[in-house]
Amino acid sequence: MLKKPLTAVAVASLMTLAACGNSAGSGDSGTGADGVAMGPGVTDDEISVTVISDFSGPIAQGGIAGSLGVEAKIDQVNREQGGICGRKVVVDKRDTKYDPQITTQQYRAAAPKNLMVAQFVGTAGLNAVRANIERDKMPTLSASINTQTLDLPNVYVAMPPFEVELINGLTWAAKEAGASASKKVKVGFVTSADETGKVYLDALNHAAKATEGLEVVAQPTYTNADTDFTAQVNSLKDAGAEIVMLGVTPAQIAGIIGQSAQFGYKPTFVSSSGAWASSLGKPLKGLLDKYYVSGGYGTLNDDNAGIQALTKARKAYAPDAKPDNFEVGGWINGTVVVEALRKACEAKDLTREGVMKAMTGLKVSFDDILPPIDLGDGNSIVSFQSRINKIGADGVQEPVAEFFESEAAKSWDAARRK
Amino acid sequence: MTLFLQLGFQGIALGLVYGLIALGFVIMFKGSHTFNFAHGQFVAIGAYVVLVLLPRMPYVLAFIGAVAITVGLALVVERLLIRGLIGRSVTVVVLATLGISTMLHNAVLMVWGVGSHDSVGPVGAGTTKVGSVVLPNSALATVAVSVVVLAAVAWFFQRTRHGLALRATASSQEAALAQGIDVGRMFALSWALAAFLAVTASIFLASFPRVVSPSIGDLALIAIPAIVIGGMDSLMGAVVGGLVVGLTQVLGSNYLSDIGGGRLHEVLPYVLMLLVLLVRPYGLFGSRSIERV
Repeated sequence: MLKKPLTAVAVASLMTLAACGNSAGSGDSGTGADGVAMGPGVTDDEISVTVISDFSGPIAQGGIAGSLGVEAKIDQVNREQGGICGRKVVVDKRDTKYDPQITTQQYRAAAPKNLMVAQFVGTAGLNAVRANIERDKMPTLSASINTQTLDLPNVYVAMPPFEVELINGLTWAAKEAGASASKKVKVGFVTSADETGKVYLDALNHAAKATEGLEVVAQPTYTNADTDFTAQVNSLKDAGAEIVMLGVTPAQIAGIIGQSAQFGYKPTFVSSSGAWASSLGKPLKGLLDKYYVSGGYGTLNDDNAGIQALTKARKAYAPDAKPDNFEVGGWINGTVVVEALRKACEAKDLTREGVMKAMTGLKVSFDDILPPIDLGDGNSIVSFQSRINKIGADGVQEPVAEFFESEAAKSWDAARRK
Repeated sequence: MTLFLQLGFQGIALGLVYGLIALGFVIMFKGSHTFNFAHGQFVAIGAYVVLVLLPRMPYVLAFIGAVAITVGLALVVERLLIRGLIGRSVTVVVLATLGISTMLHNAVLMVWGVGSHDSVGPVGAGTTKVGSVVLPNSALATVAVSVVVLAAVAWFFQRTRHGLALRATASSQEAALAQGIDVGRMFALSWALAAFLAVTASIFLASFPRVVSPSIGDLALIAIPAIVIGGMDSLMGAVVGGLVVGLTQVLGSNYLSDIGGGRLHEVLPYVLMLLVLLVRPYGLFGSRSIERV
């Protein structure tokens, strides 16, 4: 007699647990008074979106600045237009400390309460919750702009990935150095000794093959525990690399450029936008005349309508915040969120499925911060354009050329997709 | 050969920094039987205080000021949070120091933010050439000052009354008490010495081209394998262990770069630590403790 009730209790418990598990999913919250279908995080008054980022860990400087860009954009829309779809948009910030385990906990906590991820920082963290994002049908904008995250289901990258920035940077540096069939220019690549580093290395090697006159002579790697770059710098110097492409993070830039200067080695350094933080301008003062950043989006020093709007919005939202170029990336993601929510509202569908439908083929203009993009099917690179910047006196990037795209970047993407 | 000498010198410089940090761990462990996981944060705080004081005064005064402030903080932590736990299980004390570490790390973030700052080394970016080997002045200063400080610490323990009292306390608290030694004062002295070593290490850990950033406290924890390799209670072992870790990291980043996807030098100190634990659990220079049960 006891067995049956016990079994029933067990089954009921399992069903309850299963239901709880699904509560983090894409379940709708019903239909609003205005007839709009509402997903998680949406009420008649609010639309809640989350920013999952490093706010106190090793890349917190970029994480905080990036989040500020999203927050400033959403604050601007709330102040000037009363929000979206008659609802105030709120940002639910979650600190991952750049740790995949904490990222998983934070994603699970945020998922039931939010319609979408307005910005997600960290490739390893994104990979840790990729199954949850797929199961929850969670529209997610990645600030880790590389093809590893672009290839994940329901994850969107609204800017040219770092690989494109690096490829364009190499082709620009080769042209500047006069590389040609008759003039060989030696190049070296510094990347991390992990999966992300391998992806950057593949892209750079493709670009070197596709660009006439380049010879790859050294490819040293580093780990996050490295604080001394004597080995890497000497391998580049001994090989005679005239151009050094840096597929690194801000944590390695000071060590590599600083030690190169100490060893009397002064090649042309080019990195992606993710490698530079403006606070490095002070310790590296006087050593940055041959360092360039290939950036897929504009800089805070630009004089265009997009940057002016961002600067105004940041001053209104966080007047004491120190300017950092990562906030431009956040502003771009914030703009995509706003446009996607508007389109979903027009379709009267503020569910996750509605947002993803809105993202498909979404065309966004950023008022010249970067050329307009088309999100397409969400799995394609949105733009192959980047721009070369140098570092100004205050550590903020200043453009030295216009946006351009290289054939090498397009042929690399075609090869990658095969 | 030039590259080997270059790497070897950089490895020794980095290893001596780890040695200074490891020595702090060991002195606290010997003096108060506390393995202080918050020690890395004292290293970070030392660097930040030097950073704040430098624009306002000469370098030596900034360093002395940072030592005074960090030692003061260490004494407060020891007296208010650790002293009351003496006699409790090792787990309780370790958990307490982990909690203190988190508190101090967050205090650093609240006061100085998450960004990186300038370098705080005593010398700039200059170099000195010896034959074909380029020696960064920051690394030369690291070696010179570390050797002097380590010699001074050895002299303190061997030749001074307080050093002898500290050794007696480390050996047996009851016997030390019976000899009239103020054991409480010895606990405080060990924490103060460790804080001094933390500040000394911090100015070299954030020496050009390295910079002051919140991660400096975590970097300092790379000294932990050094302590285990050298022996938890050996001052000499801490320095040798530090050198082993520093040399392994720097030489390995070149000569082991083709093995294990370029990551072998990162894990090698921990592999060595495990090997030492298996063969000599008390470390290369540690003393085997015998307990009557």
